[in-house]
This record gives sequence, structure tokens and C-alpha cells, in this order.
Amino acid sequence: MIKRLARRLVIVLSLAMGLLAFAYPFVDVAAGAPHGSGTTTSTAGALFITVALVAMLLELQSDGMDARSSAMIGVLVAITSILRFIEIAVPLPGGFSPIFAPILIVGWVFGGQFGFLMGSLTMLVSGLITGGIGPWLPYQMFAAGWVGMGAGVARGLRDVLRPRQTSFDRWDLAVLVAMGILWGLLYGAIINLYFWPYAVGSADQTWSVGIGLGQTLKRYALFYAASSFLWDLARSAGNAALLLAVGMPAAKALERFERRFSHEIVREVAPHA
Amino acid sequence: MLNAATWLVWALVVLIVSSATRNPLYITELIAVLLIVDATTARSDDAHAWISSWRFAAIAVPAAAIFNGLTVHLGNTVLFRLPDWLPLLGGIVTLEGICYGALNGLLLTTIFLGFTIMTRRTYTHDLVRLIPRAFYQLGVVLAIAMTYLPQTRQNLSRIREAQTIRGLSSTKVRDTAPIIVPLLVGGLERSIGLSEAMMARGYASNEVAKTARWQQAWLIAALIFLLGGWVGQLLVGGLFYVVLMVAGGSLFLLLIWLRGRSVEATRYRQHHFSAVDWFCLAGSAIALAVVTLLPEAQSASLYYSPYPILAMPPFNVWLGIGLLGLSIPALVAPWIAPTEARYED
Amino acid sequence: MKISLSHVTYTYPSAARPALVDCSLDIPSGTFCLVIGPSGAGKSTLLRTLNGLVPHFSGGRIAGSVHVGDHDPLQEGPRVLAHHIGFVFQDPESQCIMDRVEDDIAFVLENQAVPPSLMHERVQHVLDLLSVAHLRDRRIETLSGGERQRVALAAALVQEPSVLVLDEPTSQLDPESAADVLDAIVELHRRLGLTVILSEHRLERVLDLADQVVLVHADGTVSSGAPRAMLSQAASVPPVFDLGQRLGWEPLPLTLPQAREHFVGRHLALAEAQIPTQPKSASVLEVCGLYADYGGEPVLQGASLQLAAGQITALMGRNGTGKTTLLRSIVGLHQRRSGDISLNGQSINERPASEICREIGYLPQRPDDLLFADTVAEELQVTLRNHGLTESPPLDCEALLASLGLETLASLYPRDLSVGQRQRVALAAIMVTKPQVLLLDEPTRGLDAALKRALLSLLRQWCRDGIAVLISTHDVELVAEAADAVLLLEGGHIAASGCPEDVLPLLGDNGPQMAQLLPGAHCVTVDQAVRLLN
Repeated sequence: MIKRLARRLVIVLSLAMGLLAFAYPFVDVAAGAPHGSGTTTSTAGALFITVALVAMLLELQSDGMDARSSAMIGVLVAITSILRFIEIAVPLPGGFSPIFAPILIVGWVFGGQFGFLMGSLTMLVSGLITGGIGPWLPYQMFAAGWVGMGAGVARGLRDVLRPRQTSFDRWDLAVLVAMGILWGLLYGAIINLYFWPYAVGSADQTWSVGIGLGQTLKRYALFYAASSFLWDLARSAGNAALLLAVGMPAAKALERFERRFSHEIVREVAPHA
Repeated sequence: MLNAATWLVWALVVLIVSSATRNPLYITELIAVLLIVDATTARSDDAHAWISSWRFAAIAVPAAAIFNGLTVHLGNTVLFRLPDWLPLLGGIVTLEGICYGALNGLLLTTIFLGFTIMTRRTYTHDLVRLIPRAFYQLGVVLAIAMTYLPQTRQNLSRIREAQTIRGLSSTKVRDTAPIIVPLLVGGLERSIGLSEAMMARGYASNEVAKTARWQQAWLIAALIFLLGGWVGQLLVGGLFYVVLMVAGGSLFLLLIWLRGRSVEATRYRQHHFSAVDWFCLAGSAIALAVVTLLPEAQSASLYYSPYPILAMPPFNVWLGIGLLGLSIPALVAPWIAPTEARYED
Repeated sequence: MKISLSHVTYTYPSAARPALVDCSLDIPSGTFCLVIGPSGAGKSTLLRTLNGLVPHFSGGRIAGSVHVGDHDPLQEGPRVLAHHIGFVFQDPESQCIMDRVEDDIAFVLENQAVPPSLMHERVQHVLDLLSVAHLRDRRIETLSGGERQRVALAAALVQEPSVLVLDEPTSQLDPESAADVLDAIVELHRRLGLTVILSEHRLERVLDLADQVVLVHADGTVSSGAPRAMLSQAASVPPVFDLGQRLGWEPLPLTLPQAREHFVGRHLALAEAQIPTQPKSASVLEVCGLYADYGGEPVLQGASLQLAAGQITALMGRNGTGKTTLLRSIVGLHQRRSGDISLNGQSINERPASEICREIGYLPQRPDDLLFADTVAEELQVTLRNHGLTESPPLDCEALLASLGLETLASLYPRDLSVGQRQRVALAAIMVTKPQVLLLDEPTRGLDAALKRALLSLLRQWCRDGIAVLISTHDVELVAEAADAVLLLEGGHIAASGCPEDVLPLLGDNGPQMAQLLPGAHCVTVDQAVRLLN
């Protein structure tokens, strides 16, 4: 019990730290704290996001990671990373990547902790195989981890709100599709925050202190609109389309799989001495 | 060949050093160093690059220049003026603003280039093995994922074929279920076999890497210190909060170290640092040292700003020489030929 | 290490009836014990109780007791038993944890904190023991199935167990790799004195070595005893044993040499076997001068063949000669360099695979790849939808399911079914377009004798409806029993073709047992031999 509470506390703390790290470029400027250049902003943000990610991973890997869940996450991560290379004809160009749908579905069926590990490790592995490693990796891992955990949290809410519903249905799919659309945009906005201090550079204090929170947000909004809004819109649309296509059969298949392997041992007769 | 850890340190130093400056002279020097390292250490069996660095630069530099030029209305060399009623964009567009943006783009390119070189010169599984012992279970998961990548790729093409047999010919999104669902279910079924094999061989993660209650408490304390210190620093400021952050950070690192120590597993492959590795590490250390440790008077040239009017950037010779430390891999390139030909990725 | 089971009854979670029923068994130390029985009877379950995977991995209800030496696997679980029992599984593709041979073998030693120097010593030892030292740095995915199973054996032995348990280790392998793996097991038994417990369908090679045979019956009970006594109760036996039984030989022969002894000093007046002359029917599919590459190497070099309606034709040939490439080229899944393929006299060279497959059904090696729908009935509808045939299905889906014995399973989830049932669902999903030709790639891999027989009678029934069937297979006994014609693929082209009695004896040591026992007699099946010898 205490252990579970403690785990929740770790999750909440690292989420808070991650959110702060993402919001830091804005808060920092608004607070008018003295700083030398954009460097401090980006370095601090990157450091804290890394700490938040590492804390999550450290906590979630302990306990419950037996042979079965290790093998399951490993194989699922491999599958999702490979899906990056699948050719799907999408009418829109842009940031669509078929990895979010499986992360959402797996998070929904197997729970938030599983979903977080699945999301963040998928980013790590696909970064490794595409050569896309870099300082943006912690941001991607953290954000994708939350995509998976978010689906698990939504599932938990569903279980509270509709306790009688035991199998995946259309309403659940609608929730997942909505999350897919939302995350498509949000993910882009979060990853852009990594580039933001570089791309915009808070310049030096002679002028940046003067810029208020409102102005910074406006600039970011423009930066976002200019750099990746269309791109992210394609991601959202792609997520939604893919979830509509595979969400129902995939979630049902995973649920079946989960049910098939309930794990309870009953020893009926005591062993002979 | 160089140890993967050496390359990782090198790339991180490239990241730190290039984030620390906006001086075009140093940035140019860095890019030159990186290009030389890339050219001299290239191997025949290099991993493919994600996208080429030239392409990255061709997008990043003009994009950043235009964006900064249009949104920052500072500087003395006015090129033209956008009508004031335009939100955010309205105002003067200056040469300084454009130049500053281009510098940002170059900086991003430098970082990108550094990491591209690292990933192309290291083998993926060597990078995976750099994961600290504290993350034992994650290491196992990643190893499994890497092992199953090639097989999953085969499965994917096999399943595609199987669905073609049933008359599926399009690659439209709505026709992906027949491919993704068998891939997922087949993979999960396989994972059952795999975990059985792991158990039959005696694998038990919880015996190897136990988590004690105190470790959880420790982690929470470290997070609270870090978060409290940071929020305090932002809102109030002061030495106390800095100390709090440092304490939290130290606790955090100490915990990872302790957890690593408590993992009762040994390693089959020992990766040693050769003399060449130490040489490269020393070079990276020098570059890091000149940027972070030189007195203010010497390092002031790092913070170049084109505002209010474009001027020749200053250049400090010691800094310039120190940054050359990152070129050591190029110097030792003849000695880091792929000796371990037995790796065949 | 002595092994004993006493009154073990085990039920899988949410299963209606127990998989093992009141099993009692003793296996003395150093025994070579063979476990036989029909598919799905509980051979795997029985083996898994020995190291505690049942019930520690599977869950479920268990009664009775198991002892391995002084250990109680049901209590202590697989982690403890791993030191005493090495376990090798059926599927070569899901046993490797690390990406390199050496690392994979060392994985568990790392996990148990064995000091690195000792670890290297032990890994080297097992690499030598299984003669796989040359593979040590290879990546797992570059290994063949047989090599993988050898590596799995090495990994199972690295903890120096005294018992080796193998769950159908060769069922996914071709005959050559299977022989290779079985030889390695025999060698280990002989040299190290290991207790070997092996469940296996390919009995020919190991039968005379077995000290003890455990027969797992379809109802989950077991009986155990000497090989001959147990085989007499078994549903499927090697052809020589069958022949011996039918001719009333004493003692019953387990192997070819033992069977030959019955002929020593006897003059055999062999009548030439009567080969029924086949009525020549019109050829449906014609392949002419097919050239194709695989992985940059030329594989098919002018292969030509014809398939006749209403006949089962077998495509044979050693591993890697391009049997699969040939089948895939016919349906257009594989890019061919040149060659003509015509169906009913009309060229199909230019048509896309998805279209060709409507008229030429193709069952790939792993039928599971096809299955993804919610129900068996839905799988059929998916194929019809893909081909745009939903409105006017070429044949009645319910009748098709009934002919496959699937009518009661129509609303079930395909992946929950047994191996044989899943294969039949895949066949239904292919046959629903009413193709004129059916190509099957190694359809009997992993099937036991009863399932093979069921599959064959099904194919025979379709043949009667005028369909031409081509089976690519390594299974000579099956071909001897069931094929109307045999094609032998060698050196990239069809090197021999004709009726089984003519072609199969060409395979020599790899041919059917009857052809080896009675050379030159034009005799390949037990039925023919019995007729001949009576």
C-alpha cells in the first residue's frame, strides 16, 4: 500500500518536474531571472527533463518487471519501432508516424506503467535504429511515455465511470481517437520546446528581460504555427485514421491475450513429504 | 575502434560547448572540426544517417534566420519595415535579427552533426550496453527489443505477403489492421515463448535487482529537493535554493550509483578503454574545460551578440585552441580502424 | 538424478478439463526417455512440470507431487530447477534473449552473477560441446533453424544440469537440421551421461536409443514402459514397426537395420509391385522455363512443371533448393527473371499477386500470419471483401466450413484454436474464392500423424472436385502415402518427375523406409510392402 502510494508520489513529482521543464522557457523569461544566454535556459530544461524521465524509469522498472513483462515490452517495442518503416499511404504529408496508435492501445489495455515504459523505450529504440539520437531524445521519451501513461490513466477513469463495461467498445475507441488527435498536436508542441531556445534564442539580457510572458507565448505560438502546426495536424489526422482502422481489432486482440494469461496457482494437495 | 562511451562523451561535449556560445567564429571552428572528424573516421560499414547534415543545415539555417528576422525588431541596420498592424510581425526587420537567427540555425546543425557522427561510428548494441547497471531490467528489455527487431521486420513482410494472398493490395490506412493486428498478436504470443525460455534458464529480475523501501523514499526526497530548489530559484532566487538543487541532484546521482551497486549481476563482455580512448577523452575534457572553467575575462567572447549593430566577433586564442581538443578522434583515426571485424551489423 | 511424478493432475487456468490426469512416472538417472503421444495431449505440459514452469509460469490448479532428485519443482520453481534441468523448446525463434550467440548463452550466467572468468570458461565449454564455436559472434537472425536449436541446447547446458528436457526440438526443422540436432542430443547423452527426456514426432532416429517410452494419451493420462510395448499402443509408429506388426514379426523392428535382419537368410521372391496407371487428366497450370533469384543468387534456372486437375503433386528437394521461391513465383509474390506461367492456357505473367491468388490458392508456411479477425466466419468474409466477392460468393461459406469440420467453431476467435484447426481456418480463408489450383508450402510441419491424415483426406476431397494440388514438403512417408505425382527440384530445375514409386527411391537414404528396405521393388508404402511380402 505504502509502496503504491510512494510510486504515485514519484510519478506525480516527475510529472510536475517534466511540466515545469517544458514550461521553463516561458516561466524563466517571465520571472526575469538573470541569465547569460539561451544556454542556461536550454541546459536547465534538458537536465530537469532528463531527471524526470530517469526517475520515472527507475521507479517503474522496479518490481513487477518479471520475465513475462520484460519479454512483452521488449517485443512490443520492437514491433512499434519497426512500424515506423511501414509504408502507409496517407493523403497528407507531414509528421504522421504509426507509432502512437500502438502506444495508446497498449497503454489502455495493459495499464499506465506498462504504457509509459512502452512509449519511452519505443522512442529510444527507434532513435537508436534510425540514428535519431540527440539531446532531443529525453524530450521525446518523456512525451511518448506520457502518451502511453495517459491512455492507462484514461482506462482507469473508464473503469471508475463505467464499472460494468469489461471489454473495449466504441466509446473507448472514441476516447482513444480523441487522445490520438490531442497528442498529435501536443507531442509536436512539446518536442518543439527543445528547439525553441535554440531556434529563437532568448538572446542576451539587454532585451529579453523586457519581454513579458504574453509576448513570449505569442512568439512561441507563431513559432509553433510556422514550424510545425501543419506537420502536427497531419500527425493528428494520421493517428485518428490509424486508430479508427486498427483500434478496435487490436485492442480486442490484446484484451483477449491479457485474459488468456491470468496467473493464479492453486496447489490442491500438499506435496508428499 | 573507439569505445562507444568515448564517442558518447565526445558528442555530449559537442552539445555543451556549442550550446554555450553564439560566437560565429567558434561555431565555424566547431563545424570545421566536426566535418574533419567525420571525414577521417568514416568506415565502410557506417550505419546509415537519418538525414544528411547538409540537408539539415539547408533547412534549419534559413528557417531560423527568417523566423528571428521577422519576429525580433531590434538592431540598427534596418532592411525594411512590416506594417505595424501585423501582430508580432509588425515592425522593423534588421540585418542583425536575421544574422542572429542564422547563428541559431548553425548551432542546431552543429549539435545535430555531433550526434550523427556518434551514432554512425558506434554499434547500436554497444550503445545499449552503456546503460548503467541501476537500470538492469530496462537493459534486459532493450536487449530483447534489439534482438527481435530483425525478426519483426521479417514477420512484417511475411504478414504483408499473407494478406496479399487473400487479395489485399492497397496500402491505405484502413487496410492496415490485417497487417498490424497479426503482427501484434504474433509478437505477444512469441513473447510468451520467450519469457518461458527466460524462466527455464533461471532468469529472475527481482532476485537480481531488488528495490528496497528506502530507495523509494530516497528518490522522493531527491525529487522534492530538486523541484523545491528549482521553483524557489525561479520565484524567489537566492543561494539557499541553489544549495537545495545541488543537494537534490547529488542525492539523485548517489541513488543511481547505489542501485547500480546493489544489482547482483556480472557482465560477460568487458569493454575496455584503450590508450586511444583516453587520448580522445582527454581532448574532450580540454574542450569542456576551456568553455566552463576559463575566467570570465577570457570566456566573455563566447557570448557574442550581433545587437545593436553587427560587428566583428571577438576571438580568444586559448578558447580557439581548447576547442581543437574535439578533433582528437581525427588525429588518432589511423589507430581506430575497425579492428573488431567480428562485429557484423 | 532420479525423476518421479506421483498422481499429478493439472488444469490450465480457465480450462474445462485437466491437461494431465493422475500421472505417475519414474525416470531413473541416466535414462534416455522418449515422450510420445498425439498433438495437444499434454506432452508439453508434462515436461513443464519437471522444471516448475507448470504451474509457476502458467498458473492453474495442480495436485500430486513431482521430484527431481531432492528438489520439488512445484514448490521451488524454475529458478532453482534451472541448475538441474536444461530445457529446450519447440520454436527456434523465441528462445534467444540476446542478439549474439555468445551473449545469449552467457545471459543467464550474467543474471546469476557468475564471475566473468568462470563465465568465459563455461561458455567456451558448451560452445565446444555442441560444436558451435564457429558461430560464437554470429547474430541470431543469421542462423538457420538447426543452428538456433544447437545454440539453445548450449544455453540450456551452460548451467551444467544433469537432466536435459526437450519439447519437440525438431518439429520446426527440415529433415537434415533435425537429424543434426538429434545427433547432438544422442551424443550428449552418450558422452556426459545426461538424463534425456525428449518429446518427438520423428521417432526413426532416436527410437533404438530410448530406454524408456512415455506415452501421453489424448485424455491426459500417461503410461510408461519399454519402447516396443509402448509403441504397440501408439497411434502413429515408424513404417518398419508397422510392417513388423502387420506381418507378425518377433521381435518388432524399431529401425531399418533391425527390419533387414528379418530378411537375412530368406530368399525374397519379389513380385513387381503393381503401379496403378493414372488416367491422364488435363493440366490446369503450366510453368515453363522459370528463372528467379533469391538474395542475389540464382535459385530457379529453367524450372518447368505442369499440374493436372484432380491430382495431388508433391514438390520435393533439399533445403534451400528453392521450393518456396518456386511457389511464390507462381502466384506472383516473388519477382521472376523470366519464364511463363499460364492458367488454363492463359498467361498470368502480368497479373498482380493479389489477383492471381483468387484463382491459385497459396497457403504459406505459417498459416497464423493470415489470421486476425474476430471470428472464424469473419476470416472468410475478409477474403471475399478483398476480392470484391461479398455479393456473390463463389461457394457457400457454411458448406466450406462444414467440409473443414469447422462449422461448430464459426463464431470463435481463430487464434484460440489448436494448430490443426488454425491451419484449416487459414485454408478456408484461401479456398473461399474457389481457386482451381492450391499450393501448400510445408503444410505438415509441426503436425502429428493424425492431423496429417486429416489434412490429406481433405485435400483428396478437393481433388475429387477437380482442384489441382501442389504440396511442397520434406515428408517422404507422407508423399509415399498420398501423392499422385512427385516433382524433384534440384539445381534450379525439375530434375525428376513421375509417380512416387519411380521418384522416391531416387532419394536414397532420405527416401521412405520401405523403399530402403526393399530396394528395386517399386515399393514405397507399408501397404505395398505387405502385399508384396505376403
